Amino acid sequence: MSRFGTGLSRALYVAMLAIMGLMLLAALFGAIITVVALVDPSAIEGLRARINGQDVYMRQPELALTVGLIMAIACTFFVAVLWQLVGLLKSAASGQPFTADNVRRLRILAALFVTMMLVQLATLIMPVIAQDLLNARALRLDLGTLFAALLSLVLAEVFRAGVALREDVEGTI
Amino acid sequence: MPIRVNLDRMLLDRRMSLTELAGRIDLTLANLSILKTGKARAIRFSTLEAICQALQCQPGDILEHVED
Repeated sequence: MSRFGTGLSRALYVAMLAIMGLMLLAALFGAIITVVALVDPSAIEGLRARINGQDVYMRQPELALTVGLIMAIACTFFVAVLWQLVGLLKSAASGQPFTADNVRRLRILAALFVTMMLVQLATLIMPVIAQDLLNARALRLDLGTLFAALLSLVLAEVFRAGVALREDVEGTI
Repeated sequence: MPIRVNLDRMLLDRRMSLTELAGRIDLTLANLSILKTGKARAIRFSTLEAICQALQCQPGDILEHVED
């Protein structure tokens, strides 16, 4: 089987790489905003962000700092998640999905989702500045992240059983 | 391992090489070597049957339970 046997695998791989690239750029942009807001707050005046469908002008350095930081952290998480997914897809396309590496990838995914949830929780109790700028609706805890973490953990257990079965089959003469 | 594989002794008795047995039962030499050295996790009945037929023996002649 070729590295990406089916057209669907290839299309998914390309799509995930493209999204990963965009997310990396966004993370970089967020990091730049954060650094600029810290180093030279006056430079970011006039920058505009669209938050919850509303245009917000970053006249306050604290806003730019918050937006930049959230953007950098969130996009980095997405890149990390996509990286694990790309690894899973690559091994599935090569015809060897039940490997210890994939169990590890799924556990890392679960850990990332849990971390995401914790970061969301942290943003709920961020300083008053953040609460002023991003309303409670935007910062509401997303239960989808929790379910994604649980799903990843369950899948990791399924894959662990799959690895044991594969080893048994391979060890049978 | 409590199950010992006596394939080498059976081959010696019958003056047959591992390669020859592998050819007769249509199994790769590598897999037969794994079986001979006791590194296999499991053995299929079909493999056991083929070995018994080729060596004219009983499964008990090839596999033996030993105390730890």
